[in-house]
Amino acid sequence: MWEYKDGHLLNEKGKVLDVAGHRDKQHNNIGAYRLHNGLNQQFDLIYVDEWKEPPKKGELNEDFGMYVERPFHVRSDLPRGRYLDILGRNMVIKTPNGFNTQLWWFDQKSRTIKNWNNKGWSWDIHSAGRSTNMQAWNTNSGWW
Amino acid sequence: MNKDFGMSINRPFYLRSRMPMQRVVECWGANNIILSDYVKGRLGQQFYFDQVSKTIKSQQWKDRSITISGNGRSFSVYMTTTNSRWF
Repeated sequence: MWEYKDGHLLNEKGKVLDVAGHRDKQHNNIGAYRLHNGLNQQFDLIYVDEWKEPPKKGELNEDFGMYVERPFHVRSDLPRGRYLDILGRNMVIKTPNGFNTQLWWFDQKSRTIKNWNNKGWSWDIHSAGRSTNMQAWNTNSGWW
Repeated sequence: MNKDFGMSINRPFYLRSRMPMQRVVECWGANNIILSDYVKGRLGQQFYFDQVSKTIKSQQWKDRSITISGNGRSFSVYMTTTNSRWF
């Protein structure tokens, strides 16, 4: 028997629904594991009559705070107000120049921020998140 | 609403993961339970709480309930025919 409580589906033996290996991948297996409160064990129970369809192009994704496929600049608050840009694959700030490399957009499918000039590239922390350096890298299945 | 179980009775719902891609739980091929992209109207992604058996059933396969294999000792979770062990 299962009880829905505090974002977990908990059974009488103390196990909860658990996405295998913490991997947020399409068709990943779901099992039951002891509660450790990881994000892979947390679910929202949403009744069908209250379900909100995912945002479409031009609509706001409230969870991410960005509009879907609507290009934007990222302007530094430093005194020169430079824009986020890419140099090679590296993310840098540059004087606004009207080029599409300074435009970004939120992709609903991958839930990533992509470059308008290189639409297959997403924001990425170098070295699989261990570095402090940001780059634009090929959007890949690591995200989904 | 069954307050002991935290679910409304016979009211279909989605289980949406709080991981970034917000995928939903899906009953796949009548037995398997997987994480999947939401597809509008797909009944395999909808479940409901059955007050008679006190189990969570699939909207697509209404004779099946979520269970843990190995009498609850395994990691594996799947859908199986609802039987008298539950009630």
